[in-house]
Amino acid sequence: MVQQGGVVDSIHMMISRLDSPAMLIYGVLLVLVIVYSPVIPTEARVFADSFLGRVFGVGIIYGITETLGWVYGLLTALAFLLILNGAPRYGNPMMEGFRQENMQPYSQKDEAKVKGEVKEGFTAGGAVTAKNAITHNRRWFVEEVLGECPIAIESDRVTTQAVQD
Amino acid sequence: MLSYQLEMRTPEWPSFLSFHGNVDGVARAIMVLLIALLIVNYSTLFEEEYTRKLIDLYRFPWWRVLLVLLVISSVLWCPRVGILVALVMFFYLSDMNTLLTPLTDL
Repeated sequence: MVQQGGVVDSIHMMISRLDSPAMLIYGVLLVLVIVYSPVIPTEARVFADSFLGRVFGVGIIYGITETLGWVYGLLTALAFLLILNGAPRYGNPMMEGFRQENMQPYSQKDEAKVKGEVKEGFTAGGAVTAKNAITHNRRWFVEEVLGECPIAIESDRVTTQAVQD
Repeated sequence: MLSYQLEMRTPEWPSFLSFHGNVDGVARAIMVLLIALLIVNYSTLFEEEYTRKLIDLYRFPWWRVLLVLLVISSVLWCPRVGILVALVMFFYLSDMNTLLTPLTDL
């Protein structure tokens, strides 16, 4: 007598309810895109942020939702938005900002600054009163957020005056 | 005529917002409320920080895989909860992408 029920039947039921292999492979690819979205190259992000890329992306999301179901559509939308989120937003491609390629070793960035290829996004303004080189690799939180890799403190003195009527 | 008037006086919730009165329905409603409060909290306060554990765990790929599996399981359990969880995950992943150095050694 063969025993019925139990774990074996549950596994059979789960396997019978699984999606087709093609859909599962697409789902795994979506999971990989979402998980490794930080390493997607900037060129792909720039294309996704263009007019053609956005139309293409929305069309893919709509098509996936209509064909594979809204769960796959939701994951596709999540992946597309994560790709779109990392696209550079500034008109000047060499302007410092939130671009990830600015997070490069100090030597390459310094070389680019010397060549004049990188324009500083934030300058202290006014006359340079002191040049203090930054030798340590620790950065302030705001520098990490804005993708700044300062090599020197341009001005570190504040002139204050008494309040006058 | 009387029954028609009674039906007009007692409007029902739209199906999108309706929850069944059993334990599962109450649990779904509570989850929707909690996730909505979480989204409002992080979206209205400009400098609301993530906890240190969430920031540290983001560096590990298996943690992000678990987050995606959380989204999938939430969607399979309840569509409303799943959509809100996906929204929270998008905010978290996009914030971490912006705030942290990209993982070049993955």
